[in-house]
Amino acid sequence: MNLPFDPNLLRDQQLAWSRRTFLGKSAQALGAMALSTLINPRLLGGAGVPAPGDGRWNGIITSPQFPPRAKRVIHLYMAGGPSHLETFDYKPELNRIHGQPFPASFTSGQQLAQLQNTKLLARGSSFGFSRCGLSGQMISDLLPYTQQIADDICIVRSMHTEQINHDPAHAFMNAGSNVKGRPSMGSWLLYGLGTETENLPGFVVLMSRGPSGGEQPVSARQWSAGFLPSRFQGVQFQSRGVPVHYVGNPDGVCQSTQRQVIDEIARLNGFHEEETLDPEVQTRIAQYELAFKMQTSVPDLTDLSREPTSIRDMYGVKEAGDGSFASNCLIARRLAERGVRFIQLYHRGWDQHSNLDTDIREVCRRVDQPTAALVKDLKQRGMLDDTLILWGGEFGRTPMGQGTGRDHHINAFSLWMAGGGIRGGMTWGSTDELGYRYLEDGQDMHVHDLHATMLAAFGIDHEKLIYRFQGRDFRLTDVHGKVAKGLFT
Amino acid sequence: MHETAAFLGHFHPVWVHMPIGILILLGVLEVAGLLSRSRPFRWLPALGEGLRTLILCLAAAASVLAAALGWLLARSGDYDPALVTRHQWLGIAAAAAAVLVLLVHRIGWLYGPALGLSIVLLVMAAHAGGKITHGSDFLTSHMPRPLGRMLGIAPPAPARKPGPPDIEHAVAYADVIQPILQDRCYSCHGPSKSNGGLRVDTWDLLMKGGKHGVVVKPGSLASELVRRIDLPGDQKEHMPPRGKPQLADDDLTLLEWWVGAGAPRDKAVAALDLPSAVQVILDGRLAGGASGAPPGREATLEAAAQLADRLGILIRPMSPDGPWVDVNARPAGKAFGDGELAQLAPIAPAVQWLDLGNTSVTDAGLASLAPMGHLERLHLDLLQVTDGGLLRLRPLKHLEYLNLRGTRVTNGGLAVLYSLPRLRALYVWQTAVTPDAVAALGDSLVDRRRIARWKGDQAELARMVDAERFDGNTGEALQPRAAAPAPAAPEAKSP
Repeated sequence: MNLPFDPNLLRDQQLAWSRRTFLGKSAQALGAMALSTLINPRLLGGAGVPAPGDGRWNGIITSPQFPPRAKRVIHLYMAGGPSHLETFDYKPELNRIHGQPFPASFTSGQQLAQLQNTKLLARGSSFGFSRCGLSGQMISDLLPYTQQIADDICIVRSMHTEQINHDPAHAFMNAGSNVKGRPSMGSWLLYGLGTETENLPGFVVLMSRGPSGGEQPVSARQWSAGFLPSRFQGVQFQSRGVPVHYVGNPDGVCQSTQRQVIDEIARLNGFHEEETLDPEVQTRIAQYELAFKMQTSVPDLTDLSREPTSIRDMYGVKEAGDGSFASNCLIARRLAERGVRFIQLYHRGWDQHSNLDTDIREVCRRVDQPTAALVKDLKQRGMLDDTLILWGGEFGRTPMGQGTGRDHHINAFSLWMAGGGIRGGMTWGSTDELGYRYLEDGQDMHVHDLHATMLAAFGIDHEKLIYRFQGRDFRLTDVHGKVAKGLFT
Repeated sequence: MHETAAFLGHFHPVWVHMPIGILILLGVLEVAGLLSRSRPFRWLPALGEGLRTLILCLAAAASVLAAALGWLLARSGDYDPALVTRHQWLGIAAAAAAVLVLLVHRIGWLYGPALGLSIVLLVMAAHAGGKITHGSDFLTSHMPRPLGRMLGIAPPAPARKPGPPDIEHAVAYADVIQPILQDRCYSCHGPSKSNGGLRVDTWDLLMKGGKHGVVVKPGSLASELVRRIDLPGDQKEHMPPRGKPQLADDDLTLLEWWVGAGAPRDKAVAALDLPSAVQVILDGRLAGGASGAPPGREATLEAAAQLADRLGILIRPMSPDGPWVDVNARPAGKAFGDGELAQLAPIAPAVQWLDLGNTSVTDAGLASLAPMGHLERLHLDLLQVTDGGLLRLRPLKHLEYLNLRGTRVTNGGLAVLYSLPRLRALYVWQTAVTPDAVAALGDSLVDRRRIARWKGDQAELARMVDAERFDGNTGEALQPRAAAPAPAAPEAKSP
């Protein structure tokens, strides 16, 4: 009897794995084991917790540890290191000793970036400060619009970080570590809470730039999900032209055809997923589904023509979608309205090693009005109560001059927060009389403390948001971080 | 001089442990010395003559100093005089005994009894002192009952009645006010300590006032008690003092209500005039209130998970242990209407935040909000809701935040909001509501007296801020800025 094929032979073949298959399957099995540790079972308390593979992800934190106040974050990321001495940290003593040698008692034995082995001269600020609002907060006259929202913002003057160069400092601000492969704070937040929309990514990044000079590149690793499943990573929209490339269908393809294609791909991917148990396949399926939904949600999102002229004027948008910070701020508000959890707007152009006075005036001009407009717009919509706004860079700048500019500085910088339960009209922490170092007065804020405080606004105890990777429990705040409870109303 | 005395006196509670430690250690060493004479304990050391003298010198000096410091503290502190007198004489006796032992310790037969007496006096004095700071029943309050019976000490009376009394029968002073005073004031103005000569542990003593005069003038909110608890927390005169457990806002409201109502001793709550703000607080604190018992957590969360799936909405718990949930219907969009809102009935009592923004809920559908008695935040923005719909919000006595942006409400619709005592944030941008109407509402929502004071402060603060405006570089004063344009969104916020 000579059958076309021998069923026994086929079974034997299936059972007899080649060395290559064996190794491949072993790796997948390890992956499966890794998957089982993806979720910390201590956190799985309540009913209805989805596995990371389910279509909808509602977060690992099923029950808040504190009363939640915020629902979303808009991080206005002033990339390059804005000078705190020209913006929010008023230092008359520094102005007084302008041009004189900087006291060595401050600087001896300290880390310097580009000012090593040079003569250190104090550099005062060329710009005036005013007391603003009913709270009387001191804000630079470079930021006249921000001065108008003084009573809504909480200025933190005692920030400090550990990384003195841009890329590692960005990583430290985003992920709490300069080590590559750590998830950014937006990814942690998505992992912890999920998102409130199925039609847009839960973590969106927009970038703007200028003026020329003082621009440093920002790499995509700053919004990476690190070792978290990659569905939690940030998605960068183009701020100029088409926000998402190829979001429209080619001629001859309609949405129903597209739907069928996506469904079929999902079915095929499902087979592969059953075989390999690779969480990244689930990510891929989810991303196809999301991309399909974005075909309608993104054009609606970025159609600024329906914004009334008064609103566009308030932000100072000259031309919708022109890639300016103003246009991005308006899009950020629209993203927030649509339930996006974490919105990060990078504005490159704060790295003034030289020509500080002219360049910072220009970058402030680009950033100031849209920022204040965003706060006011959210407020009039009643959204500032549950939207946490964060304005700041990765580090500050030296009170010592560097030619016509200032060098990188990690011992002190300023940022501000608003909304999301943060008490407005308050200044938190302070620096010494020359703005060189934060004071340890119980209000000093390390980047880890900022992260812990941000998570607390969402009702998350930063010590409970954990992901086990390579046998170790990881947190956004690593083994540090203390919540600045005094910031909350 | 008086200040220095008080400063030194406050070291008494620290220093007293010195003679106690020295004398008890000496007693132990002497016992060890006695034991070392018998065979089985030969390994124990015996105290030498010179060492004994040294230790006794130290003990006597430390005791006398402790007594002196105690004398200074008693002069400056506000303690129960009876307790202080007892402690004072025992302490002086103990110090005298310590000196006596030093004088007689060379006389062999007298030394032992003298040391024993000294230690006994010391323990009695220490106990009397402990009673002053910690209260009389500090040691026995957690004693097991059988042991207490054996020693003849009555088991401590339960601190509070088991459950709060019924709102119909509750007595304003005994059931509402006294528990607040007990929690927050007794420790410094009570039986064991009466700072400023003031005790508030009974109605009579509270009315009597302290050494600086009367603190409660019935019916008058100008009473010292009200003034002090109402001060900002960082003021020196604020009560309770900084660092001590503070009164909650609700406590403040209740105390003011009671003083304003004439500070009656025996009147029932029901016999007094109940403003809605007070009614809401009492509903939560006394049994039989409208709020009733909170719903169960497990059942609520289980029902919530099913509802979220079925309706395509988001429901998240608001606290680690309570049943309270945040319901967000916005993701469901226009597919979420009156019918869907009605389906939330099983979890309605547990809903604390509710976002119906941009859904298709209408005036009629808002009837489903009636059982949501614990609702604190409500988004109705962009709904086709009119003044008629707002009438349905009347039962939401806990509402703090209401977003009506882009709805069809008018000034007339705000009338119902006057009956929501906790409302603190109202958003009416893009409606026909006028700023005047919102301002009037804001004035009515909080205590008039407080808002008047706040407005006064605000003007003063604005003046000070303007006066301080200067150029950061030249130090020159700047001209006061022109008044900022009115905000685009009329807002009603309390101070």
